[in-house]
Amino acid sequence: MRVGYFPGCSLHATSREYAESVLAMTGALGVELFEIEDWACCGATSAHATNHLLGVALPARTLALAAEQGHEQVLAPCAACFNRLAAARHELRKDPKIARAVENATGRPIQTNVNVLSIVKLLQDLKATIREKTVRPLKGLKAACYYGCLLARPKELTDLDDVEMPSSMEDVVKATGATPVAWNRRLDCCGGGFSLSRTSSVVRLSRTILEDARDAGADLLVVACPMCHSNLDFRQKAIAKRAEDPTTLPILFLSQVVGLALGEGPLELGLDRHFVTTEKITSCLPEIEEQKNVTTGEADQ
Amino acid sequence: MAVESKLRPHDILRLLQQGRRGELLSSQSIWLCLTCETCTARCPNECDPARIIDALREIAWNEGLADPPRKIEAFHRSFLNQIRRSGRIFEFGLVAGYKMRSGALFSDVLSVPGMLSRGKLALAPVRITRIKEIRRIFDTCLESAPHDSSSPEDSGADTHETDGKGTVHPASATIEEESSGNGRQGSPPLDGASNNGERRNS
Ligand code: SF4
Repeated sequence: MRVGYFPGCSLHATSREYAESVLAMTGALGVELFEIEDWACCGATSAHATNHLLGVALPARTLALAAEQGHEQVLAPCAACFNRLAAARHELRKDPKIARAVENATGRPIQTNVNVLSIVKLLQDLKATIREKTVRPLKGLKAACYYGCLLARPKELTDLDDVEMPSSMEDVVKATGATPVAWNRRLDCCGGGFSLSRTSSVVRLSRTILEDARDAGADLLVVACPMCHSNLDFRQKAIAKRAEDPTTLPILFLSQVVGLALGEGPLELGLDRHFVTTEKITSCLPEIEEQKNVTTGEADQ
Repeated sequence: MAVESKLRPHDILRLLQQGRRGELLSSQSIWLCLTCETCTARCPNECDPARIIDALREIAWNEGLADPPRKIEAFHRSFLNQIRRSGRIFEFGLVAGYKMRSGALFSDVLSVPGMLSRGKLALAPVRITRIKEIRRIFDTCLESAPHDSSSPEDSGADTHETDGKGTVHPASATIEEESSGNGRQGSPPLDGASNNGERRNS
């Protein structure tokens, strides 16, 4: 399976481990990722909050590049990038006026046939393969699957099974042998892009998420977004200062959880790059059941 | 974010119905929306506050009525400048620009040592090959935005981005500077807002 790959800015820097684990895991699953050449930032909130057209045109260029480079689908592991790419495609399809303006801005033909994939959807579709290739079942690990905002909403963009009661991430986690826990804050917002500009909001919002996951008995919290990860992992120290329960909760990317089950090593998956130690998880990993051949994808340029 | 905002999504819709333009456009509340889409997903009347708030922000930004909390404005400006300059976000550069604009000089921001030891900070900016295309996108999009004649620029330090050595980079002239030019003659902003915003009702 060949898929275009849009890493986005975070995966090239602060969320390197997300990129590392995505590449390792997709390689092991037989998915070949091809990074879109010369991609640019999706514009994130700053573009769509101040100039609607800019918020569509930047990701539209990426879609055009993807089509030009022969991709039928593009994987955007960052939930925010996924949202912007999917939003651009949606708007270009339904609004000819925007499409014309975007064509004029990018100087490239409009491309709306490229399908935009979230990592959750990609893995949900591959859950049988994951089950089959799991050599280190994560039995006994209780995982709180956290969707946040942009994977599940808005309903015309999400590729998950339900807006209010999704089970896509839980499906994937189950395929690795881990047990998803039932909890309440799966779809709450962590504070997203206010990490730098309004940290107090991030602390307040993320704290309720962490507390709820802990109360539900989770050993780890699983995310599929670099911003969620940074807010819940990097900011966990600041959050704990004021929270009643100081127990730390490791925050893992979905790709790291799947990678572990497929037999990848914690270092290959970048588990050492987290701020909250993942020792609790790695120290109780079962032995790899059988030897398997790991093929790494040649995704990097 | 409702607990931190004076105006909650339903208040914003109410003011909109009442045509209380100035109040809405100059409110800080519209800048506290995280576009988490919860209100839109759960509105029983199929309203789309998240899109409406985006439209209000854009109008306020273009008309010079925007009054976002300083740090939020600093973040948006630094973020967009960084894309315009390199095509991608380079976190060191973003943080430098952000600190300068926000005055948050000593905030932990990215906790540089912790980030470095974890290999999480790229040390050199990457500029995409066809950066001209990005400049063109910015120029075209900003040109088609209504011209802001009474732009409430923050400090003069904000007008140009420097590299920390006091050098002014012409290529990084700020967004608002680039946007001066002729403007689209739009419909009255509030109409514009509801047209952009209520995609389901149109
Ligand atoms: S999208 Fe709606 S619910 Fe979410 S922060 Fe904005 S106004 Fe609040």
